[in-house]
Amino acid sequence: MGGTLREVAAGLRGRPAAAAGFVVLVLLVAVALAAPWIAPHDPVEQFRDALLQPPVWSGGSWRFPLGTDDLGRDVASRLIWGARVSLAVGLAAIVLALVPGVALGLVAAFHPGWPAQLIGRSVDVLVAVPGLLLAIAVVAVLGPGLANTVIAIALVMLPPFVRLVRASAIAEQAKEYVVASRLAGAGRLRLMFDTVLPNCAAPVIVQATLGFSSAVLEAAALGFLGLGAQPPTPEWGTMLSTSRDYIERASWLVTLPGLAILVTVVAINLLGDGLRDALDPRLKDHG
Amino acid sequence: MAEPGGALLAIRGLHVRFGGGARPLHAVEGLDLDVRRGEVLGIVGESGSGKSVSMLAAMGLVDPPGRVEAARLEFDGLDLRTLSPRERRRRVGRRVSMIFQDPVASLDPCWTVGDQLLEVLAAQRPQPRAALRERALALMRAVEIPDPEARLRAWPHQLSGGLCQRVMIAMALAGEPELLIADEPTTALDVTIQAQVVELLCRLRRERGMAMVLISHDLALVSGIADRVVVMYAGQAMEQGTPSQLFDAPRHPYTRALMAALPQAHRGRTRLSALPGTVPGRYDRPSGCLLAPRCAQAEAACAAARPTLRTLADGGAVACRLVADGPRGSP
Amino acid sequence: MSAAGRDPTARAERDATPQVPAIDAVDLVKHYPVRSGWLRPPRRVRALDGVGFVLPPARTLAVVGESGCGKTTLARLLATIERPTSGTLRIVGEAPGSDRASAHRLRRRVQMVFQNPYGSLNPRKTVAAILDEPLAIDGVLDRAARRARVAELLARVGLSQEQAGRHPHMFSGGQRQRIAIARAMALEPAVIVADEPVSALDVSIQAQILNLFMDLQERYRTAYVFVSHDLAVVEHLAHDVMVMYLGRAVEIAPARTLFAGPAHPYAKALLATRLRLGPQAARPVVPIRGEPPSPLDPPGGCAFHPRCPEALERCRAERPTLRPLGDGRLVACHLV
Repeated sequence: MGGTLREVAAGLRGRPAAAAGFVVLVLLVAVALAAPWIAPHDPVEQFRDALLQPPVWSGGSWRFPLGTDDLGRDVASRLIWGARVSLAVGLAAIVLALVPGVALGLVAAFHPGWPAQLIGRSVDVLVAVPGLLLAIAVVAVLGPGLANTVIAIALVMLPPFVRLVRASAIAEQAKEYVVASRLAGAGRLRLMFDTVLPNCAAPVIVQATLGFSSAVLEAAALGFLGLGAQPPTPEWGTMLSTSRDYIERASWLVTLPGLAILVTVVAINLLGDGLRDALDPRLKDHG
Repeated sequence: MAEPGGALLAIRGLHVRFGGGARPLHAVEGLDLDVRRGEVLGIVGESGSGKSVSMLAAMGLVDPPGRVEAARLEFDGLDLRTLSPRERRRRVGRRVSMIFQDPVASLDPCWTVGDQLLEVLAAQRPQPRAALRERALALMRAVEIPDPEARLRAWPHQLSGGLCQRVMIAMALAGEPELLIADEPTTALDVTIQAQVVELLCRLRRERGMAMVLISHDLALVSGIADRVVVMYAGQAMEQGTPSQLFDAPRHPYTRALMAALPQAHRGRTRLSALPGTVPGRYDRPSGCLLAPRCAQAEAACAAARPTLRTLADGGAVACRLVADGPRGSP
Repeated sequence: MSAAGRDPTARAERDATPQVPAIDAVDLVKHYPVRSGWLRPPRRVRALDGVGFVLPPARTLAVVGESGCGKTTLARLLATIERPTSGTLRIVGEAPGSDRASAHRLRRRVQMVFQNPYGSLNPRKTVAAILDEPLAIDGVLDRAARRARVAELLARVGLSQEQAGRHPHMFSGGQRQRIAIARAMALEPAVIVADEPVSALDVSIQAQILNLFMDLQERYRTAYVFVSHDLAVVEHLAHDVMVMYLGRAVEIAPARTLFAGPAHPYAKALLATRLRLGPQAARPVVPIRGEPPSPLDPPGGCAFHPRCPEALERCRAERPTLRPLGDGRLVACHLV
């Protein structure tokens, strides 16, 4: 894995867009982690005397730099704490999709008979349903809430990992170093995880990065539909949804969370694109 | 070097570099080469010798980040350096052809063999399809493809390597070129097929009076059919001469080492004399003689200055300080 | 002999019983089923159609032939990567079984070196990890002993210790083959099957690797099955040569005998295509026409008869078997 990390670092160095994305993402994570200390107010505290305050640049005060919402809650604090929710949901969903996805992909690649068929067809079924619809269905069954949002999004993100790893693993299996490992006595488990998997890491990393941005968007969408984070939990999508009625009167309530989502997703996508280029074996010098 | 009075392809001072910065990769360095009408010139070398790149550069097939510079690069008096790609296609395209190493990969898998062959013929001289087909069949018979009508309908993946190479040769001959450049044409083929293809190339060349440049790492192959041979190492020409000069009495230490490393040179199970070390890469290119780090006879002066190709009394040429026989002709 | 912690009984066993051949193969057959559509019955690729030979310890058998002759399939069978469809195979007296203990024992008897130096090493592992893998799985040596052994293996193939921490992409083709050879020797096998190990290398590097093979054979008494299409290399390296055509052995002879004058028409053709060094006089006359037939659809009788300049009626009808010719060689031909 160390080699891959080094490749990543080297790749980022030459690509300013990806590096910018990386920096923004790091900042976002830092903000999210530091929320208890840098948020000006408690995100759920309602200031009855300061309802619908505009942001500081259109007539408001520095007490609420980004304004307040219809319940008097500080928008800046909600955005900062919301970063925690969105990033955590994204991360959790990706991890929950990645681990079983990679494992299933490897199993499918190494057991070409009925296990591969079973996994393949199951994944096909999952893919046949549009992502958001599937997430909604899952949440409808399990009930709304953040944890179930994570599960729903993970289910949607699962198929790409399975297919990616399966395709990669099958391609690697044909190579001679895998045969050499077999000759050295490697059993199936070792072949899957020690020999082949590290060589499939690159596309998985890229998919994880880009999937992260999708997950953030899906979480926001679910929140917007009222199926994700429940009030008063600050979450960017939920903030968007509850501010629908105020789009004319208090447009900052809509634009600011939307901007937060936008910036996060663009940053992650730039990073992911850069990683994909950096880790693409075809662009590398061989021998 | 003697003035290229009758040279079809004249190259002087060819440099091909890849990559920028302070240390570009020198794929070809200071190459002087002539191909005379009707002769077979062999270019021999190992990987990294620049043998393929030099011809690709001459044909204008080296794209950025490669940079090609030459003091002189002429085909039949026509200066190739200043031609635009369109001009080159129009004026030189039919007169020079090239075939490559992997014949199956050189054919487009999405079109039948007939389609591809007809396309080449139409590009040379547009005609109605029936006439093109006749020409195609004639060419395929000339390259000894059995059952040509059926082959026209075949897809590249259905043909063996040897047949594909024959198709490539047919396509290369379509314009009746004066010069054929063959870049490792037999390397990917089986031994018995190699022999067939070599024989075919020789026969066609004789019949059509073509000049041929044969690039190969296989010295035995080249020695059998070339009129003159150039031995390249790390981008530079080390020795030139007729096959008998080169193979019976090689002068340059690299040529000698190459001969000595061949299993053919040693009957029986003795150790082969192997040149230690490896070809210099991008970052350890010697400033003096390129072979000096590996050469058993290298002296201090060898590492100081890079020797250039010197013509010798018998017409051969060597780039080595240590080879006796005073220089004749221009330095 | 070096024995950095390695179990010495394996080599003692080998030296004490010199009569046990390194490989004893009888009538090896390998067919691959090929689907040809739903409604048609499956066809079979007869990759190997009955090959047998005996390889004495510490000797080199070269297997030569062109594409489709089955030499790579044979190499895979001998290295126990695949199982034969039928036939028996004994490696240092033991036939491959289906249990783990048997696989474990066989790993110490036969190993393989592959053709492509750029594909046969795991790009994500360091050289040290690559060499350590067979030892770690073997389980006999502890970590310190393994480290010592890896160091010894590197020295054995002429690589320096500091290269152990690098990844394969930092090495040239010749160096990678050295690593591959070191890996093959890690468990001190009695036999190494080498599938075109020098074909992808330059001439001068080829010479280095061939020398290495010869040195290792002298010092460690390893037998080789050396698959190659390059007859010059074979003539140099082999004690015995087996010429294959379309899944069958057509001639098996000591190298010197074969190169002095082959008996089988195909072997003659193959040798005649060898281009000797030297100008025009040595140019070969093309001896055979046509292409090797497909193993999906082999000709009846003698597989070579459609291309054979001396074919008889009998050759079309009856398949020849390998028979001794008296001078130490076996030939499968009706004409001799």
